Amino acid sequence: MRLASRASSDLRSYGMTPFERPLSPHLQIYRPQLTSVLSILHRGTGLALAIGTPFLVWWLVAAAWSDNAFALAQAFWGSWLGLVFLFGWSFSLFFHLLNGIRHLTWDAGWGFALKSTYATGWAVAIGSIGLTVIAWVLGMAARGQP
Amino acid sequence: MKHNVEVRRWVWQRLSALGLIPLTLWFAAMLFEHRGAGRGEILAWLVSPVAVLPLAALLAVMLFHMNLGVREVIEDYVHNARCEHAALRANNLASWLLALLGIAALARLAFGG
Repeated sequence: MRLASRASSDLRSYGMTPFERPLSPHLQIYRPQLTSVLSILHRGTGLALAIGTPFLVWWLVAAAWSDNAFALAQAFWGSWLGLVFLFGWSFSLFFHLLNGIRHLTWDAGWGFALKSTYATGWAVAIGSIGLTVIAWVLGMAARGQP
Repeated sequence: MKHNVEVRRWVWQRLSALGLIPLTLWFAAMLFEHRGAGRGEILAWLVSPVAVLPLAALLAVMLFHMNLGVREVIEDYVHNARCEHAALRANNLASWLLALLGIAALARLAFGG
């Protein structure tokens, strides 16, 4: 704090207004745009899927363990909380998958033009929401049938 | 370039992503096909190598990809050197632990324990 106040008094002595020096801009400075939102979501969904892996392993271990352990895991997936998690993971998976393919095409040197970046970005946004809705409609419709 | 560990991680992140495309699509289809299945049906399904081998591959490649991705996030956001080191070790430990547990479960399912 002493350093900061000295710096600001130095600035004042040079006739400059203190505390108005440009800082390196951080995330919240920028107006959100499709490209930045998708980029942040790619990390966010990746982390969400990472949190999902222990649950997947739990399900496998429960299946290998016993009828009781498996019934407990299945009861969790069927519960309100389990369904909310599943919904989040299904969207995360579709988004990370589609946007991951978009990233791979960039790595291959394709689709860097601003126009194609936005076109593929919208395709990822609409595609991941669409796939999530289709998966849940199919899943719920099939639930009623044996 | 070839011997730089960062470059190798970058390449492996892409290669594992490529491998995960067919594996995840297969797994999503299998989940849908076996929706509402009881343990008996799952056990019967998992005895077949056609189910166990891709599932083991999915698990291994997925956890490898996860490890690389989480590492990238830690390297970007954890600035304190000691915290970063601890977080990276925890990431590696969690990845190995999940892989071992998952493969052990699959082995028990496949060979009947």
